[in-house]
Amino acid sequence: MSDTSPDLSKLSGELYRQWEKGMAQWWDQVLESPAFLSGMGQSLSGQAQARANYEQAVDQTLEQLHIPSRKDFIRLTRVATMLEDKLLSLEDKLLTMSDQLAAQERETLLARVESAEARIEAREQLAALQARLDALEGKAPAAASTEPAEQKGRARRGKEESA
Amino acid sequence: MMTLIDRTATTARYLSQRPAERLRIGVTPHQVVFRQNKATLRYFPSTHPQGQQHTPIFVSMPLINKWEVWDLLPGRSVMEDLTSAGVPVYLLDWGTPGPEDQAVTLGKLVDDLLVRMFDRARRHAGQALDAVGYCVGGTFLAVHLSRHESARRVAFVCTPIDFHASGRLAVWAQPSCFPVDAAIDGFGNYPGRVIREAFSWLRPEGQTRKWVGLWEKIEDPEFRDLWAALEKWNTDAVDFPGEAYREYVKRCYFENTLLKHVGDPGVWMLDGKPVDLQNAKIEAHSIAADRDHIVPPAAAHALAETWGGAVTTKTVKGGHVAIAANGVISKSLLEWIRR
Repeated sequence: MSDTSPDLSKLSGELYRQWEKGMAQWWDQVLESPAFLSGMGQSLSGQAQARANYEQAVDQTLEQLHIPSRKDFIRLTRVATMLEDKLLSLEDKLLTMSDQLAAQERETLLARVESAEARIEAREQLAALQARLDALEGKAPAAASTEPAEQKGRARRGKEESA
Repeated sequence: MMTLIDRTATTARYLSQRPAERLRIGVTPHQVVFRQNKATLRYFPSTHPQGQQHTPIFVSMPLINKWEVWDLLPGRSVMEDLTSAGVPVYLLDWGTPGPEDQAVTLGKLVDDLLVRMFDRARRHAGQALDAVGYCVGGTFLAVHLSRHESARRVAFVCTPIDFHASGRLAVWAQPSCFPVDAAIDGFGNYPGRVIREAFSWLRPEGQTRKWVGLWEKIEDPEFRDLWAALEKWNTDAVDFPGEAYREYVKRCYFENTLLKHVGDPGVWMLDGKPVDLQNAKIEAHSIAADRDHIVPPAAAHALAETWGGAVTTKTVKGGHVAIAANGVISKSLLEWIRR
């Protein structure tokens, strides 16, 4: 038995392939024929209609028995879905606002850095001017020159904060 | 060498153990970072020893199947391949819609849900993202990216763009034989089992080949596990939200509007705004599989005719699902990511 089996296996495989080829050709003709296509459409319509009728009948029976029907559950779940949609829309808006706030915060920070840099630059210029003034007046520029500039800076910051 | 009888008995014994039910798929470690209705944003962090190596990607999976097709088993997972190469992945799992979701429109999915998912992924990543779309998830992503600047660049995997080049599916999905209005009015959501059946009948011989394949390779444990994983994934079909499906079939399959541009007659107006892929300016890459009977290469690579930005294309060997399981998608995506 086992000696002849490999040949039988090969033969059965070959027979199957021949059969498959023939069947495939036959199916190709059937599956694209107008009669098949028309029958397929009618069958689908029939199934869909039967399904709709069945569901309607079940719903009517349940309604008569005052039991929540499929329609009621569908309505409820739709309401839940709509609520979820609204919540997600709100979440979208919050995320957008959060993005905008983050962008504004970034811009504000940048502006503050720029103004601080400008203040430092101005202070340095003032210090330089003071030094030149002191030199012109014949005073020693060391120690005394930076103090008035710092005082002026503090005074300016105070004005900005109160504004 | 097994005898015919032994092989048949072993196959029967294996199937009697219900292997697909016992197997777990989608096990690559990840966390859920955001939820909206049934949709979930799943984050797969980089597992590379040196952390993140590339820009994070946002993946839009198809609505008609579970996302686990990209994470079938350890060693057979696109997610595992990408994260181990240092690519953090944000995966959009659209979830399983219930009857309450039948009024969800395509506009809601493309202009609301995708926008929010991208936003949350970008915030979580702290940087701009690349995008990847698979199958119909790619189609929706294409429409989204033509209307919103959500990603730096995009890769489409087996994504239908020219729907009239979709082979047998295009023949079946014609207004004369596909009563989409009657189906949605009756079913509510379009049933996943009907989509699954339609896909399996696209190639009827595939249904017998699946069983013969298992019978032939029943001695190979790796093949058995993969077979069971694919079987588990395939039987777990997902319904398509009714109104979204109605619009998708009419605009894409019936009218093939993704090839139309503003000014053309019959351009797709989605929520009052035209859909024109020419408006997308980012770089796109289209990957198609040569034996894909759901989205043939011609249907996918038509992107090059209609996309506004630069487009490159690549055709790989394999089928629509097989390329997810055999590492071809991972390889192609990593090539694109490393460009």
